[in-house]
Amino acid sequence: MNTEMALGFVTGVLLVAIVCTVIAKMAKKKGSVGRGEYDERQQIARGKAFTWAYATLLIYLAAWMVFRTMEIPFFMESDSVWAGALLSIAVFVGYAIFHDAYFKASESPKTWIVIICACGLLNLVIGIGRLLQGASLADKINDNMNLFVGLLLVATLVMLLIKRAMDRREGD
Amino acid sequence: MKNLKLKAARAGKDLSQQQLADAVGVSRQTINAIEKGDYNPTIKLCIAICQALNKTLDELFWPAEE
Repeated sequence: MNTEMALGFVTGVLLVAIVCTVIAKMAKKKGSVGRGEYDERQQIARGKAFTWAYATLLIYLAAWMVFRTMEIPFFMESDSVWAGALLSIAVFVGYAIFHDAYFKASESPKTWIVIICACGLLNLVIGIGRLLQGASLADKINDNMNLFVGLLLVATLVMLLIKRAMDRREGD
Repeated sequence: MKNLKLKAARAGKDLSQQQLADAVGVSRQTINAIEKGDYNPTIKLCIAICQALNKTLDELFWPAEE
């Protein structure tokens, strides 16, 4: 990693951290996120979600080592490790959402949906912008964490909306 | 096994799942899961539900004799 890339990486991380902190503080002040605890059923469900996510990461890393020995281009880059981490996070998020354990009992999903939507769009715009740049297609995909994070957040959003529709149909 | 006694006691008090959930400090989905028999609550939550509905543990959680 050259100096320019390292500087860009650090700036990006700091910018995202600042934006996320400001949004989280505003939402917390409003009282719609961060309140209360996960209830006992949610804690058990989240534990199972962690187990599935951990197993997914182990399986991915085993496959990653095989693909690496086969010298498949994507798996020769460091981003492929992060892609595995994001995949396991997606498994955790999906399990937690469909077992009603993603939000705390007293939290407002609406605020989180807005935050996830905003962060997802931001990452997708940056990621797609990079895809449209002049580098070779392999490079664009290999060095495009924003695209992966954007896809994860969009997948999270889709799962949340599906779950909300299922809950509405089920009723009280 | 569905917990129809809990559902009946809640309806008897004219409470929605959300209102009962708020009263005992859990999510609506947890109350729903208990009523559907998908989740076995801890004794602590059972007692909280009984207190919220003015019922005893026997009345809400002891299985009916065949």
